[in-house]
Amino acid sequence: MMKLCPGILNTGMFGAVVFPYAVGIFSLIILKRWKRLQWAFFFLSTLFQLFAAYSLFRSGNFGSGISQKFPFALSPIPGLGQSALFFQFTGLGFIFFAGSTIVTLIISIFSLAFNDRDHATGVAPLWTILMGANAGIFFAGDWLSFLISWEVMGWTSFLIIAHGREDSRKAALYYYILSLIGSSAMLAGIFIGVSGSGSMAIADSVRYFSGLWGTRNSLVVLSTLFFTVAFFAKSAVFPFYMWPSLAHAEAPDDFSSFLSGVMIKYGVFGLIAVVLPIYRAGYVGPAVHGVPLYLAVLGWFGVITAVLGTLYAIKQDDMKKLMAYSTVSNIGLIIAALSMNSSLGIAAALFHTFNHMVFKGGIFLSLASVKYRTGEREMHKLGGMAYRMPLSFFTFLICIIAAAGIPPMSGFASKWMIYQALFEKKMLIMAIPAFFASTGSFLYLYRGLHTIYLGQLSNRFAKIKEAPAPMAFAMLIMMFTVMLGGFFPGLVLSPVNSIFTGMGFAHISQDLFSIQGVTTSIRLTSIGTIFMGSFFIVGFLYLIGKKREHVEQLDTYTSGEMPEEWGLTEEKYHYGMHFYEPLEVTIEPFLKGTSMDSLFRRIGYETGKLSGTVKRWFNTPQLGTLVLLIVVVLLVVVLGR
Amino acid sequence: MILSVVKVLGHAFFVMAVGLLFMGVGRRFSARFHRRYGPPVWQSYIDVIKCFSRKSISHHWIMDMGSVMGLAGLVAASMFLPVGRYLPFQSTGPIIVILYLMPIGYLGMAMGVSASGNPLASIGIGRALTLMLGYEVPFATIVLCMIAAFNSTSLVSLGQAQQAGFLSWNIITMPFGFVAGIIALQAMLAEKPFDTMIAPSEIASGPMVELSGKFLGLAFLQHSVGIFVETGLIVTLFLGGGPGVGFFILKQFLVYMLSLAINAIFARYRVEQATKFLWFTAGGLAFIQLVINMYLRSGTI
Repeated sequence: MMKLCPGILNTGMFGAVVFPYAVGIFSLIILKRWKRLQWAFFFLSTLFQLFAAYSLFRSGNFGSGISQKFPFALSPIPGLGQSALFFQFTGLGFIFFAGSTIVTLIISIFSLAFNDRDHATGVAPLWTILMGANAGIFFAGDWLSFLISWEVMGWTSFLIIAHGREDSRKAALYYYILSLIGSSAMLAGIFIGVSGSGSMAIADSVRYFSGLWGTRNSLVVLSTLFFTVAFFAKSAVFPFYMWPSLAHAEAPDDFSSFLSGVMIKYGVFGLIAVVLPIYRAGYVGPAVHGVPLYLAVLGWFGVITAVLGTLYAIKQDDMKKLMAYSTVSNIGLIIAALSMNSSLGIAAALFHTFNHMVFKGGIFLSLASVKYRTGEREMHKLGGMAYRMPLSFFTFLICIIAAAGIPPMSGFASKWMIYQALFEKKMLIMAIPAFFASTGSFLYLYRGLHTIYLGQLSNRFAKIKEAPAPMAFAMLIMMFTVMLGGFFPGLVLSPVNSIFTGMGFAHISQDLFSIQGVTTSIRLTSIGTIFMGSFFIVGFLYLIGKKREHVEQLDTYTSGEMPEEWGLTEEKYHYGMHFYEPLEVTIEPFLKGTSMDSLFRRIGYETGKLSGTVKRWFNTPQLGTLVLLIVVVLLVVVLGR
Repeated sequence: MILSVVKVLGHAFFVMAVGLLFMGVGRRFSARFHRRYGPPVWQSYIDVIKCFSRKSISHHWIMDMGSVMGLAGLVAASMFLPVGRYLPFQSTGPIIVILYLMPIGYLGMAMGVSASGNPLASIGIGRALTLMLGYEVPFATIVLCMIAAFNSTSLVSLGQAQQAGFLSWNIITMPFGFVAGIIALQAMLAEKPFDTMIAPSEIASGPMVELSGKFLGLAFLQHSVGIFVETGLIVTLFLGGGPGVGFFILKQFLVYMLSLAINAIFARYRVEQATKFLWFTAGGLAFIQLVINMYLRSGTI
């Protein structure tokens, strides 16, 4: 292999993609019997990817966008000059690759212990293959390798979400159908780009579209719309915001962490890599405050997603669904920031993407360890876990402080930058729903904290223990990463800044400790220090006060009694159901009015009717679907010409 | 280094002392509305000292940590608020930092009382957070109004922009915003008609139900610092800040008295009524101001 592709860049990228594929297939076929060994191989393959990321980092030149040919070229396609599969090393792809690999490695440590005899799901080989596709998406230089990676990612994640369970199968199908809609839309966009530019390279298509401004605006907008639908479907942006609540909730618990942390970001990557460059220099057309109209609409879709995600999260009783909607809400904010298409906006989006990977990963790991010990997912059945699982509680606490965007944790810095990106373009009205979504996050995050970890500990769980050591270790790393990101934003922002040269953006002004925005600048280290200082001052006050006495929880309010003849038990004493009922009642009409479910159901019904008719014509279902697909594709190509 | 530590420490105690004095005078002021004499103005100091010197009960160390975190968040927020022109350490007075440091106080308090396991406390916290979702909309819109007018979120420069005299104060130039701000302030301070989270006769003082001794003392101090920071925000945003510390505190005091006067004559909203009122009435006023500032007003700092 070394002979075929000299140079570290090549080996690194090639290895990062192909090695996990090989390991995955090997463990799928050979290691069928040894489930634990499969997880060890998954860990090792991710470790290898991290090593590849490190060597790429050492040798890489982020700015130049070097491309390398794949060792095996395809036979020439008539009419297309460039027909080889090749990888491309861009700073953007590298940042995403490195971030996702680091987070996955931490999750894989967790998975080693999580998948014991009682909890094993056997998805390790598929997940290993998925990691190869993960690298492929970020490094793809031409549409064909991008599509292959995208589809491998779609298939493997579909199978992992289903993992052989009946109720998970439905969620997985829902997820896959949305992915399919996205892939078809993307395929249409790719056809237009490839036929226009005469090359399979992604960069050529982008260049082709950017050159069309002023002459064929509607074609460019149509094609970017196709790409946007694909990326929105993958990132669960309005109107596709329903799938995470199903898929994240039904997936294996450790995989949920990956799904919510890493996988949902592919759409963000795609938007930054493909759609945004088209709307840069050379854009001719209507604009709102200097932002192209199309992107402004995209930004509004982002904040609408953020608000809807928040409102749905407030309503949930299932802890994994709650956090899935929280992810939707965060993605909405990221989309809002990046659609400003400025260096501040993209930096904010990337920074929040990375922070979200870590803190949402941490939250899901913490939830997974609660479920590992208790087997419960509905929050009102839990309660008081903090008294038995302090480390999981701390991970959750630190991560939700970050998720709520409260200093001194990492989420604050990136949320602050998202606001600054909106302020820079004077998108002030768009900032109102963003603030709303951000404040709403306190509500659902606190609900999770209270209902799962605090309140009354039920007698059923009086004897449970803290999560096993490797799981605890993985959570600890997540926790420290969140803190580190909050005190030293430069750790993430400096690499982000260094890739901006290659992307043609101005640098944002920041250093290790502080960020300069448009309306003011903040020094995160001093905010953290001030908070710690205040904590010590108040801690001192606490210590000089007279000593406290420990009293059991039930000893005050019910005077030590638990009158069971009234039907009162510890579980019922725990206030967890319908936590925000007054608010739920208030927002219910709004949610009903904006629900996309009925629309999708209608579309599903009509499609069913249509395909039923077609089926009757051809009498075999396969032929009918095939012909329908061919017709759609042909139509798009012909219209695109 | 040592000087700055002393400054920060001094500022923390100064803020608490001023807040407690406000509470004391406020109790006497409210009493006059009810036609009683009321306690002496130093009653709040006595209360806090007494709380700290009595034995207290705690249900779990998380309760202790939460109470400490609760006050710490607000004290940290007060460090970024310029008092007149004085700041305990070099900063621009970033308003979004203050807005996001205050919730860590509320989150800490919420975490502490949740660990007590009392359902009434949890109901109170649920209401408090719902109300927060209510008042954050008008308040955030006011911050956006300031950005539209001055392109700044630094409290220091927003204060400086209003130094040209009484007519340059934002209460004159942004009247709708000011009304929205006063409504939001009323909700932030949890005074009537927005005191549904405390509601003594209904949920037994909500979050405070399980607090005793020094925990109650910490809650008292948290409220006093909260008064200082929240009235301080309104004074800096709308009433010209203040050239000196004395003037600044006087203005804060007037704003707090206004809030108490409203408190004395109103009844209590249910939480969903309060939230709707804050979203649509206060938020609407602030939104009108935002549109005016964005499209009709010319000139920046």
